Amino acid sequence: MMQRMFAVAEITVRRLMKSRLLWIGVVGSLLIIGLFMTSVVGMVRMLAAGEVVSGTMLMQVLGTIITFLGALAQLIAIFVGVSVVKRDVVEGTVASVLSKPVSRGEYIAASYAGAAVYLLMMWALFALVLTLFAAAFKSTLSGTAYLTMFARYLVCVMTMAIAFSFSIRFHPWVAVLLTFVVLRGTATVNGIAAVIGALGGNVPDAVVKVLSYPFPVLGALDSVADRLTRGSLTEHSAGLGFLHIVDYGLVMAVLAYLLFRGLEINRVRD
Amino acid sequence: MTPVQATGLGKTFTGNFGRAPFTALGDVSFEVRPGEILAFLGPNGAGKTTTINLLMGFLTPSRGQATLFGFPPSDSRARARLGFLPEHYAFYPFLSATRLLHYFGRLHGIEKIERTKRVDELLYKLGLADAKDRAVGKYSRGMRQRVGIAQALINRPELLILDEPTSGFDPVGRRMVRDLLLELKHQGTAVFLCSHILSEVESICDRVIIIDRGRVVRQGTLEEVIGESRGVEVTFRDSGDAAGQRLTAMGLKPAGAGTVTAPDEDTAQRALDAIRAAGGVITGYKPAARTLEEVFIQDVTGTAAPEAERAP
Repeated sequence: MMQRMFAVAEITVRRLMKSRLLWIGVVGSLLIIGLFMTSVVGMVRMLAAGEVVSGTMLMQVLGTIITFLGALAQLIAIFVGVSVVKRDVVEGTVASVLSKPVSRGEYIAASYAGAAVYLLMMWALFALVLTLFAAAFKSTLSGTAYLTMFARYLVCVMTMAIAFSFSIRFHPWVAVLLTFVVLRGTATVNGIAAVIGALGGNVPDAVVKVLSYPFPVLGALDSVADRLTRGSLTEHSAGLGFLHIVDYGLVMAVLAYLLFRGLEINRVRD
Repeated sequence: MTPVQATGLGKTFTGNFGRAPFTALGDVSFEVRPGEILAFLGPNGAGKTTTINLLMGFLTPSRGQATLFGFPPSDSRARARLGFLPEHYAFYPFLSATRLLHYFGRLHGIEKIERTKRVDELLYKLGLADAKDRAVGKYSRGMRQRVGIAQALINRPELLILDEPTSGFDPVGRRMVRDLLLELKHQGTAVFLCSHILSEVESICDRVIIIDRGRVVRQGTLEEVIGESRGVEVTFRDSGDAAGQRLTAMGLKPAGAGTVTAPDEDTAQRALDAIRAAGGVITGYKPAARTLEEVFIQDVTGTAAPEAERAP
């Protein structure tokens, strides 16, 4: 079983690496780092003039870069999630794979793992570039910076998993839209409750909590990023945040399997 | 264990957004026995690919059931023993033929040493050895089809399910596939074959199933299927049109100059008497050698194939 799953996961990674669209995203992200680096030239001049303290400025710049990268990487993750299984189904390669002794569960799990590995490689590339960037300023990235990137990676995997499960039953663009809805679910529920409140109505907290329950909570991981600049993180909240994101991703993978299990493929009328 | 057993197999696609349900396959029962080639024939839209998709577990049957080696089609134990070539074979275009076959070999759990041996063997047998390291996406259609056949054979299957295996092949390639299938048959492999090239099917298959609009219209051994509809062909020389008129009066339709096909032996004898009585000379009397194509066309259109389309 493991050999089969490794084979499917490996081909998933290779296929994603061949995807031009995704490479455009990765290269775009690296260009953003480059843009920041040019702005840093100005920062160096300020440092030379003694207007700012080196460490603080570098942390702030890195924090901003990672936030931007996180957003871009999340976008890439959505397209990774949407394309992994959907492309196999649309192009028909899934029929070749499932005609071998590969169960649908193995196929979904291996595709999910392959996509997660691809995202890990992408973040490793980002981390390498940022490390070189910091080294250029005779500095090193702190453990927190790496932790932040890891947190962003987990969010990307979770985002990919959401898009992944929706893509099995929906058109890719509908899957993209639904993924955005889920990612912003808690904020949307809170916003609606606030609007109702502003109009004179009252939505009990319990209702808001119940309605928000199916959506991921990203606040705990945001606090990891905050530590880069403010140092306000507690280990407890970070741990729970990580667990929540990983769990959410796994639950979405299970959902993807349940949706894929009953999916009829090759629905052609001869 | 019977490689394929289908009992009352049927599929109705539910209509979405108010569209009427569509029955692609009505009620089909058949089996594929070890070491035989079963030709599954039908016009476009007859339900052939739906049947294959049901056998492969890609679709869920609305009625009846299918088993492969006694297991449900989705069971990995069944799929470990079969090879499958879909009509439109899709692959990863960036992989070379060697890597692609290794990939499918890995999915079958074949160890690397054995896998390498089989991959080399198949690439050589299917004439891909010279192009084995080129990306499959750059292959011609015929070469891709060869890769498709190779991947279906990587596990040395006991059952082959092939949907239009010779599409995209030149005559040499078709001959190669035909020889390969016969070789596999002699080795005991059961073959479920869908093809539109009936002359090829006729030359290799043991049994035939003809389906039309989701229903089996004829099935049996090749001899039974062709033999059922055989008649007797009488050729004669007629000085005027007297013999022709007498035959027409008997309800026969003389085709061309001095040829008539009687549906059975008795009618043929009466036709001979009529020709002689009209002063005609009998020049030939032989069983009408109908082809599978003629039977097929008659079954799916309800009419005999035009004379011009008949095989020589």
